Amino acid sequence: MLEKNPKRRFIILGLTFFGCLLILFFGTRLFHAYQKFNGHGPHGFAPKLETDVEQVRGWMTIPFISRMYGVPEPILYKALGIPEEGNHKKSLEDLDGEYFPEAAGTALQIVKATLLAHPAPPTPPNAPDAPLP
Amino acid sequence: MSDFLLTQIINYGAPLLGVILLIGGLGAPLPCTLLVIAAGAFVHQGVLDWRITAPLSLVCVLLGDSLSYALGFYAHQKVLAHFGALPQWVQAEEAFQKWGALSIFSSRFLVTAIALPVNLISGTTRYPFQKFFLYDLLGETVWIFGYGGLGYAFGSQWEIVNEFLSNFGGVLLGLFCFGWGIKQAWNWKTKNARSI
Repeated sequence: MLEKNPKRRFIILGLTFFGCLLILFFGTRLFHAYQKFNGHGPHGFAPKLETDVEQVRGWMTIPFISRMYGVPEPILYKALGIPEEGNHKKSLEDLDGEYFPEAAGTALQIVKATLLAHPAPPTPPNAPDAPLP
Repeated sequence: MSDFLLTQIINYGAPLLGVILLIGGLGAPLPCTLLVIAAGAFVHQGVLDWRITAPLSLVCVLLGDSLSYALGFYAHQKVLAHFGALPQWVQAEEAFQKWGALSIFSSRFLVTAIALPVNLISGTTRYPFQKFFLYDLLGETVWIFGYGGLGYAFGSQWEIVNEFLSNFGGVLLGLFCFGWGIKQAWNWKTKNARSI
């Protein structure tokens, strides 16, 4: 059947080749992801308060970072030198564009430095959740 | 796109996640798996409440899938007019009736890239809606609670989970294409051997 139908043969060969490419491409990425995965197992559930400032991302908002790291919002706003009002729903990237247009990533760097300077107080295991900001 | 959606989810919570999953179920290319894993992490961080987020997400994604099934279902006549006479169409319909359950279930969480085509084919081949809904519900439950649960377990490290799972899905899709091609080639070889 394949021999008589070159179009079908082309589709089958093409799909097999495409499958190989997908396996190769995603397989390599999977291997790299696995290597990272291996070093970051959950070891029980991850702690509620984050301590690694390298986990801060540009899409995060100040209230979210405050909750994630247990650092009060006013400290972060003060460090950035921006008002709290009207900035609650803006991501660090948005704040960067609005208040620090001359140097990309400034807001992120300031927030990271502030978090390092204000580590969250240690909480006992099974401590009740902090109230919503 | 992902960054924008993540910011909006932490701002507007579960209702927005539900809307995104509904639109994703309809076929819009949105990073739904990433958002489900992230939502699990947000539950862990106390930003979202799982008692609202999980059921709402499940309802919305089921609604999206059912609507895309309906699109295929009502396009049945048009598809038949174009392809109904082809033997390949009859073959495809028979194959779907046989493998439909597995395709629907696994495409919800393992090979999510083929979820929309599976929904549409389920509709056009008139796969019974009750069965479609049942396997859809099972698959999406695994997706929401399994992937969301991984996000919860890994907390702020959820990006690693997403990277791993999305690449795993790609490898599975590659294996599927490769396996199908090999099977077709094998069938052709067997037929040739018989005719000789």
